[in-house]
This record gives sequence, C-alpha cells and structure tokens, in this order.
Amino acid sequence: MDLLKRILLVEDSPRDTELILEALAMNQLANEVVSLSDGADALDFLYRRGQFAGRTDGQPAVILLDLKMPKVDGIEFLRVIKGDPILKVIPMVVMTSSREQQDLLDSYQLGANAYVVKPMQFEEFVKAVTQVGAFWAILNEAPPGSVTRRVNKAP
Amino acid sequence: MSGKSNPHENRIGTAAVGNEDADRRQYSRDLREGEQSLRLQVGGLRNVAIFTLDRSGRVATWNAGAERFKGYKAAEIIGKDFSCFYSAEDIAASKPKRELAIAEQEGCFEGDGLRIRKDGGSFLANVIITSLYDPNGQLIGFSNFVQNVTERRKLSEQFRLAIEAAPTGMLMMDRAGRIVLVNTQVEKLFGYRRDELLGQGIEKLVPKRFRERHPEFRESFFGDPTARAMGSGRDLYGLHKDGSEVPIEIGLNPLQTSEGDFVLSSVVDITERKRAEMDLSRQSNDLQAINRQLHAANAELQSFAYSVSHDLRAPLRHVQGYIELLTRECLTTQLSDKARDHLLTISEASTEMAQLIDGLLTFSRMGQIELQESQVKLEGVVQDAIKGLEKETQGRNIDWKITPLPHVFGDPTALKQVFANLIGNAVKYSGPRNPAHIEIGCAGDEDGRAILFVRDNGVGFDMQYAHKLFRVFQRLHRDAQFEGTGIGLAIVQRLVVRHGGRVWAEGALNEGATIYFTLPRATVG
Repeated sequence: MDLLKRILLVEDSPRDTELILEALAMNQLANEVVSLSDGADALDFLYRRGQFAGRTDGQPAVILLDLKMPKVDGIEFLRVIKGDPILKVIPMVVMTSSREQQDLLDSYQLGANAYVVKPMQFEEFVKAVTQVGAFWAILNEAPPGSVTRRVNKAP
Repeated sequence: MSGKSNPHENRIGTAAVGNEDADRRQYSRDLREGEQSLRLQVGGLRNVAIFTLDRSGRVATWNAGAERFKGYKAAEIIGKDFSCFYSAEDIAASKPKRELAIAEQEGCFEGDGLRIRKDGGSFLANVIITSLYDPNGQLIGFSNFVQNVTERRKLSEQFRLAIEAAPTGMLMMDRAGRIVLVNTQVEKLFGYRRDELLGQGIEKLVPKRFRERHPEFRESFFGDPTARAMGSGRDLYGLHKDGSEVPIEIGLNPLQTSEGDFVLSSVVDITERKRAEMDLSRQSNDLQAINRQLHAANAELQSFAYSVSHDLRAPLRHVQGYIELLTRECLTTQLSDKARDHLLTISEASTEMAQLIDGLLTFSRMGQIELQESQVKLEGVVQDAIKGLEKETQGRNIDWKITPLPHVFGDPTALKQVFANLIGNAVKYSGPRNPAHIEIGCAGDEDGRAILFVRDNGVGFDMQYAHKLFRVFQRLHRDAQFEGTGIGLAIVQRLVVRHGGRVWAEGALNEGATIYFTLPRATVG
C-alpha cells in the first residue's frame, strides 16, 4: 500500500498542464494533483486566502513549479515560499523549458529542491514526469502536515 | 721725494725718504732682499709667464713659465724685441706697438691674442701688460703677465658650438631672468632674432597669463637648483613673436660659473607630439565607441536569439507531445498507414525544427563568449575532438593521418569546437567510403598565420557552390543523404574569424573536400 501524496502543479500553459497530467496519469499519479495556472493563485492556495480562504486540508507534499508565469512568476514564488519559515519545508521541483544558467542559479539559490528541464521529446517528457512523480509523490517522505491518502497498488 | 702719481703704479724701486743714508741703505737692502725673494718666487712659477720689457719693448727679465710657454731660454731671449712673440699678421698690423702704447697711456692693457713660440707653434694667450715707472714717474718698462687660454677658449668654443648645434632650443639666463645665450632653434621656435632676445627678460617669451607667476618659479628653482623638467604635469606654452602660443617642454639645468648662477634650459616644441596625442586619443575614443556599439549589438543579437529559441521551443514541445498523445489514442482505433505516416512526418519535422533552433542559439552564442587567449597545443585539441566523436566513428574503418601541428594562440575550447565540427563533417561525409581517409595537418603560412586543414576522401562538393558552404543553415546535400542542420561550418567560420583568421574550402564532387583555416602562431617559448 502506498501513501499517495498531493501534488501541487503551478503551470500557466494549459497545454503543458494537460501533457503533464497525461504523463502522470500514465503512472497512476494524477489523482491527487491540484493544478493552478498562476503563482498568485498558488500563493493564495498555500496561505489559505482569497478564493482558498476556507481550505482546511493539509499542504501538498511536493510542488511542481513552472518559471515563466504572468502575474507571480516561479522565481518570485520560490522566494516567498522558501522565505516563509513554515511553508519552506515543502519540496519544490522547478519544471521549466529554460536551460539558462541564470534561471538554474536563481532557483537553487532560492532553495529549489530540484530543477528539471521539460524535454522536447514526449517520451523523454513522460519519463521525466514519471521519475519526478514517483520519487516525490511516493518514495519521498513528505514533511509533516502534508495530505496523504492510502491507495491500493494496481495489481 | 715721491714718485709721480700714476693710475696703475707698479714700483720696483722707491725713493728713500729723509736724510739718513743709513736708513736709505737699509731700506734698499730690505727692498733688494724682498725683490730677490719675489723674483725667485715669480721666476719659479711655471704656470704663468711673467716677464718684463724695457721701454722700447726688449725683453728684460724672463721666468720659468715664460720659458715653458714660449720655448725660449732666458739667455737667448733677453734683449730681443718682444714682437717676435706675435704672428706676422699682428706685426704687420702693428699690434705689439699698439698694445704697449695702450699700456703706457692707460697703465695697463689686457687682451687675448695669438702668440708664437720659438718652435713656430702658436697658442692663445690672455695677456696683461702693465707699465712700470721709476720713482720719478718715468716709464722704465712693462711687465707682462701671460696665461695660456687655448684650452679654455677651446672649451668655451665647444660649449658654444654644442649649444648652437643642439637640436632643441637652448637658452641661458642669469638669476635675474635676463637672456644671455640663445641658439638658432630658439630663434626659430619663438620667431625672434637673437639680438632681439639677448639681454631681454625671459618673461618676454612667457604667455601673458603665466607671466606674473614666472619670476616666482625662477626664484624657487634657484632655491633648489637641480637639473629637472619644468612644470611636470602642467602644460607649458611659449609666446611666439607673432603672438601665438607654442606648446613646449622645458628642461632646466643650473650652471654655476665664476660669473654667477645661470640656468641653461632646453626648450622643445611639442606641437607635433600634442597633435599626435590628440589624434591618438580621438582614435582611441572612436574605437571605444565602436567597441561599445559592437558589444551592444552582440548582446542584442544574443538576447534576440535566446528569446526566439526559447519562445519557439514551447509550442514545438507541445506539438511533439500532442502527436504522441494522438498516436497513443490512435493505437486503439483504426488508423490508415497514410495517417500514421503523416503523424510520423509531423513528428520528424518538429524534431528538425528543434535542432535548428538549438543550432541558431549555439551560433549566436559563438559571438558573445569571451575567448581566452593562451598557447594551445593543437595536437591535444585534435585528439580530444576525435575522442568526442567516438559515437560517430564506432564501427567505421577510418585511416587517420595527423601530421605535426604548430602551437597557436587561441581559446582552447573554441578551437576544440572548430576541430570537432570539421572532423565530424569529415567523418560524416566520408561515410560511404571504406576505408575513409581523414587527414589533419599544417600547410604553411599566410600573413604570419599558420594554415591548417582537415581533408577527407568523402563525397565532396561542387566548387561552384563553395561560397555557400559557410552560410547559416546552408547545406549542399539533401537531408536524406546526410543528416545535419548546416550550422557546423558557420560556427567554424565565426570562431576562426574571431581568432583573426579565415576559412575556405576546396573540393570536387565525389573526390573529397578540404577545409583550410588560418590561426595565429604562438612563439614557442
């Protein structure tokens, strides 16, 4: 029996969202994904404010984070959450199409736990998402306070 | 009895005063003794010629110096007329008589003149002739005091010649700032004749706005008189006669002579130098401006290439992703072969586009990266490049011929890229050959740079299209034959040009190709 932990996906492109969800689905990881299309919404979610004011369940076990987003971009989001004494424990995986050194540097300096470049080939893409999902959502021990749900492993 | 008073009296004898014969005798004795001792001393002097003449100019006494200077022994010259010491021209001009006459009239004659020795040789003499009187005021003769001033005059002449011949302006002034010596260069520089300058204050040559402080500078120099450049750090100007200002450099040299303290200054007209400096600085500014523009342009290009490639990648990725999803969806439904082919084509096309975008990004980066300058052993670079092509050379039968390569100046990473691209091409285009012959070597020099080449026996190319080879994305072979984006050679060219060299290609269809490029040689230390 595996404990399936919640994944928060912060990605502004609906196409990339769909591709990631499809890839996660191929590995039975898609059920506990909360997908938000902007860093601002994601902040509201984590801080339980705005449209998420009434949220009572726990925090995600891992956040998949895109960098290039309109209102609050990935770097800004990283800075806020990793700067927050309580929320900083949540593992963050940057998933971006940028291979630029500066983005890598900024992300790691701000405390990102991993940096994955979205592969061009879909096969590679699926592999990457699978590995990320399998590690963070299943193998990794989530920080206390994360939401979990028991699932039966597929026969 | 007293002698007749004369302006320049020189008494050898004096009158005895009073009635005392005894006193007189004593006095005479004392005098004679004094005279004798003086005579001995004077007589013994060898550096100065001292001799006396009687009133008609015949030699009366003769000292050692006179013998030394003029070559006559006392015995042979006493009684002879002293004009024999003068040159023939001087005798003809009655110089001896005239000098004696002056000595008699004024009491003393001083002057420089040529004197002839017994052996016929001559020397320049400085002569003081004094008239001598007896106690009664009668002229009894003359005393001559002669110094050999040949050396001194020679040195003085040499000094004057040196000043005159100096390539820079030479100016000498006294402590009060009066000009006492100038040379031709000074006349040229300031536009004055020397007679307009000699005796004038130096401030005449100083532009008005500096004139007030100049005496202060002069005094401070004499306060610490050491040879130095004037006004270091300041721009100095001289005032030309026509009112214009000349930029100059001034060197100051203290001269302490028996006649007082002087300053010998050298003045150099630096108009040309200043003009050259301004040209240089203007050129430098221009170059810097161009450099900045180039950097800006390069940075713009890079940021353009980056955003282009970045923004183009996302939709491409999506295309590829959805094709996959579509394909997987269609596994369960019936899809015609044609439909499958179309899907495959779309997928391949988008892959190609991704490669083109990557190539474009790499190419634009080639212009921006800082190139390190160092001595590079090309043999090592070539080996590294070949090693990096292991995947492509696996299973191939390649005959490598690498001849000695020179050391060059350049960026090791960039040069590795150049060789990797060229050798990679050679490997690729000699694919159909078994064995493939790939040769890497040096083919001489061009303009001080070494000519290097990579040659293969592959499919070659039509020389007609050689000029297209190095263009971005340009290919001379269809996709089906050889995979590639056509950016490798463009990158090679860009890197070689950044090293100051050039690239060109030679080849023939089916007879292989040779890519030549030049790089600066490193002086082997």
